[in-house]
Amino acid sequence: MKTKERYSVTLRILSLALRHKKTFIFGLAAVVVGTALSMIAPILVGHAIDYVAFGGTDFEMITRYCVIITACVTASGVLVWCGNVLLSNLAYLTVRDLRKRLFSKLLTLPLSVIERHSRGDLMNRMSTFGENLSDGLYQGVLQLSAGAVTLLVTLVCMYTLNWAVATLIVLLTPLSAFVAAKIAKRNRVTFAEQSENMSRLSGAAEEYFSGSRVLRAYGRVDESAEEVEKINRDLFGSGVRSQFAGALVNPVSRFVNYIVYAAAAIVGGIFVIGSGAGGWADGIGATLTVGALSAFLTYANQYARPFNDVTSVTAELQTASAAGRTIFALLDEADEDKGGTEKVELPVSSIEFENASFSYNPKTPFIEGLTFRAEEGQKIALVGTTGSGKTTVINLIMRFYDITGGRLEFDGKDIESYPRADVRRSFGMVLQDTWLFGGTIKENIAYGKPDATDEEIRAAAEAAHLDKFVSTLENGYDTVISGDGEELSEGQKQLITIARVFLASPEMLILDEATASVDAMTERAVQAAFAELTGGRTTFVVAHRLSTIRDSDLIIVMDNGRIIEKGSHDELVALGGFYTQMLKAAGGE
Amino acid sequence: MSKLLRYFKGYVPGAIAAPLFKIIEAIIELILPLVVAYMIDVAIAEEDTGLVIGLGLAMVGMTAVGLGFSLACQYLASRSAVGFGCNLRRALYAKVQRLRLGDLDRMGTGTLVNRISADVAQTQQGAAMFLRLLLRAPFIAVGAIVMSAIVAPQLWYVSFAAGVLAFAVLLIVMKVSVPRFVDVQKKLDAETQITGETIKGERVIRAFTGEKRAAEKFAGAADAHRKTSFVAAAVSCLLNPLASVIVNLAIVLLLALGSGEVDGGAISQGDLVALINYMTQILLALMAISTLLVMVSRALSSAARIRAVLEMPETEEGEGAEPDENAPLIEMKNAAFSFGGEENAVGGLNFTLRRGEVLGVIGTTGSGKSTLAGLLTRFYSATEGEVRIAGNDVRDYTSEQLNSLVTIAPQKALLFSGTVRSNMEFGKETDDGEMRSALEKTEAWGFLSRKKGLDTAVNQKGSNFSGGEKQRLSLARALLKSAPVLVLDDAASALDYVTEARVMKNIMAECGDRAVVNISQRPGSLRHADKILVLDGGKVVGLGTHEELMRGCELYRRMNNNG
Repeated sequence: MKTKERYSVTLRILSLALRHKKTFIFGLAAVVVGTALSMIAPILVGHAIDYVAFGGTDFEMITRYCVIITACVTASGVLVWCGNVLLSNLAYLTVRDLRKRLFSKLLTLPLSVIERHSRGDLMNRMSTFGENLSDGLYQGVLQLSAGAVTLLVTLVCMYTLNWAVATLIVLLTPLSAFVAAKIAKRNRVTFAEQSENMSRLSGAAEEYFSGSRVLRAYGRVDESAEEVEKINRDLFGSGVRSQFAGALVNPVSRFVNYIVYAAAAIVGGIFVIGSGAGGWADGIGATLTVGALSAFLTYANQYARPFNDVTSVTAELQTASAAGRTIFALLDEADEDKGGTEKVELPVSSIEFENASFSYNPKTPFIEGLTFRAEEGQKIALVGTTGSGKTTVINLIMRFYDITGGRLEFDGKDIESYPRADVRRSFGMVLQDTWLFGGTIKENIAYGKPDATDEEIRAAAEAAHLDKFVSTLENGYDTVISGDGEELSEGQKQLITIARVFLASPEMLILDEATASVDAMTERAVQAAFAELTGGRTTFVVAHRLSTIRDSDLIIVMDNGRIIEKGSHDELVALGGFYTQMLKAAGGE
Repeated sequence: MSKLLRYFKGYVPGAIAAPLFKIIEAIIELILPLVVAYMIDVAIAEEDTGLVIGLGLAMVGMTAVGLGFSLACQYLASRSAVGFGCNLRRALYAKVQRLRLGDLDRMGTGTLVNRISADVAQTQQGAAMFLRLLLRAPFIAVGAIVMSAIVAPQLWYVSFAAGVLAFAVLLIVMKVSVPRFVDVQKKLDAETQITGETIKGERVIRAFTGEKRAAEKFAGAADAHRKTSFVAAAVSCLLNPLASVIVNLAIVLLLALGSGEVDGGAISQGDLVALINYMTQILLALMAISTLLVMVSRALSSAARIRAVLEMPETEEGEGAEPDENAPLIEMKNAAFSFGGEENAVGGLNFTLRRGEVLGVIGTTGSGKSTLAGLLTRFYSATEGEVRIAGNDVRDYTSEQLNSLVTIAPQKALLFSGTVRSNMEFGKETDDGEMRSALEKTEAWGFLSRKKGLDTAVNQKGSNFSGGEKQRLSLARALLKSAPVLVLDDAASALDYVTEARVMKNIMAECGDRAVVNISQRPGSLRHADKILVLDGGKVVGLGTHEELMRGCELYRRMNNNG
């Protein structure tokens, strides 16, 4: 990612976070003050130590310092906790807002954009990337603010104690930063190598696990294991390298810290000696006591910590901004337009394609020269092989996709002059891929008419031949089904979606007539329900079984995005073309 | 985890040496405060600049030695942990390929890929952390308490109490926060589930203009997720501040009590500084322990998931049997298979198939067709009745023997990355001519010759071929295998009717002396089979020739008339 882009992603995330100003400000303030208070403690302890001496301890001062330190560390503890909690909450609130926006976006983007991504990819943006962002935001704000305060307060404290030793420690700091940066660089290289090997492994495992049947049946398991072992060997090499590179950080930075520590001890010790009565240290305004030396030793360790943490925080921030970028990329896509403002007048007298064309990808034309007319009350069947464009025609009528050429007229006017939502609402749709959501059967049936009464729901279920099945369930219509409806058979799921359409009682119908995965008994119920549903309504049927569409007013035979034959069943049989061939091949007649 | 320990094989010395080396570094770290105390009490008190410098350099020298041991530990630990991970990965891969296919299907490829990648990586990371910090952190914590007691025996209880108290806080906070984080995960899952459900239902939601309702549902889930996260954070964020308050209060106590001891001459000023240093070391060690515990608990749950796979039952290997030339090639006697549910996935299978005969199997999705195919290839072992191949129970053969007897072209044509040739070699390692002839029979040579023929590259899972092309390649591979029993499990479903008819004709011509089980959803493709088996919902509803079934099997008749 380019620096500029990363910068803008960060700014966008921050501007979202700033919507929760109070949480942001109080959280930041609590962390800053709490951290600062904890950084003052060593200096106070140092002062206290100076009042301790064999036979000459100033107990009054000790008591006073003990009270101050107690107050200081307790207050620091409370503040740090509050700050941490508030900043976590800030991250949660921000990501929650972002997720809500992302979710709404999923429902306003054109379907073409949605379908360009896999479902897993979109879900990943929602869950994993959301979490990455949340972690990054929290760690980023917390570590950067706490780190800055640690650095600043330590610096001030050290200079109040003794400018000379303070300067020594400051001068040694780049050593620590340099070593940390070196290790981080090495880490990045080995990490990249390791993740490359890991994705090779996942790819191979995916291929060989999903192909397990063939590997076993053809006796190739050992060969596949050998291939995996090759990757495993590479993973050993890169694994050891990256594991060791990661493991270097702690001991090496500890060692560097101890060098600073020892230097502070030596120079500090010399200054303490020089601060005795009439010593040279007084002359340069840099006296030092034993207590102050002990404070210095503590600071020598703490001062470098933010530099050591930089590595891990940077990694986290990088992950977060990469996550943010992919989320924003989706949010920045243009929404589907709402369509025109013309009012849909029912009944819709006709739907007509006139030399319409469409393609999913501008380079490869798909639908071309599509011309046909559906009159009110007619049943139109679309038949053809898989991938011939039947479903695409449905997508165009529903305005899930827009034609790229020619005309599509709805009730005599360009379909684009009506609001998309209104065009869609005038259709009832039963798709091959049944869609149920987590909730009760009742809620699922009432999806198109949320205010329906129980009687209406029941009547719809009856019409869909579903009532008998539902009454066998312990909780009847209140039975809760999972999102996938796994406890139901394909046929039962299909019947629920049919009942849903019955209840919504739309002007026109679209049926993707899939009964391939329905057992024979249920199939009969589904067919009967379909027959009842279509009565008197303009209906578009994507037909998989030719027998069910024999009575259609118009049968459209598609192949490779074009209409190759159209007419009634009898006309097409008389023609003796592709339709007749399909009838024969499918086994009938 | 303990059961997985054997996967350290080959790396045991390193795994033992690593923590020991780390302890040497820890001991040096524990001695340093004593050096500082000596510096304060002797070198500084006696104004001996040379000794101050000497002691400082000694500190650098000691820590350099510590660094050496520490690096040795880190290297050995990395090597052992990664070696452990590789051993585990190897074992897991082999295991998955021995799992019963029913279990493999149930777990799903995605889950298993996760086990072998993410879970092994997590376990490996846990092992590395464990080796690196296992002894160090507790050793420093306990060591610092002991050293304090040595420096100031009369004040032993202060650091002891602080250490114990802080450790208790650590355990309590973790214990309370773990279930909260489980809760958070559940809420996140709920959120993800709604997202998945919505993406799947895009068309229906838009058709019913349900966008607003979906958004409200999601908002509810997102708010709940935020709230539980907040509670979990409130608990887990207690750890650091609480522990540091405890340790700092202990320092205050040391100051208050220690000042009296110094005043009385029992300890020196330098000793007091050392005591305070030890407290800081205890705090740091406890923090390390808390990170370690989080890592280890994550690794443990990954390890448990891996172990669950490693302990799953395996496909049983037969002892070996001699095929009987004269027995029917396939014989099923009341065979049934159940995945463990109440109903059989397929049952009541009774038929015999001899050399040269073709059995057609028809039925809707979920009727048990593929399960039947799996019984023949021993992907599934009959839970009732008997499946015999060439006179022996299918379970008696070794995998190798069975592979030479039965070949399958599965519904999902599975190709592997490499070339067309390397995929064809699955069937038989033979010359190009024979491969080409098989590919011609399955009408695959046409599209291959426009590419690079046998050298055409195959991407992972054959993603550079269309469904129909993949099936034609897969059929050629099956044909090359030339095993006496050929099972075609809906293996031409993606071909158009005309191509399918041609390909099947070629295949049947090749299989004059084999037994072919041809499974299909297209009645037209089965009409000429010697026998046709009709399945519905896992049960046999008809068995006979086309004519017999047209007369006697209502479902078969309807399938044919439906077209």
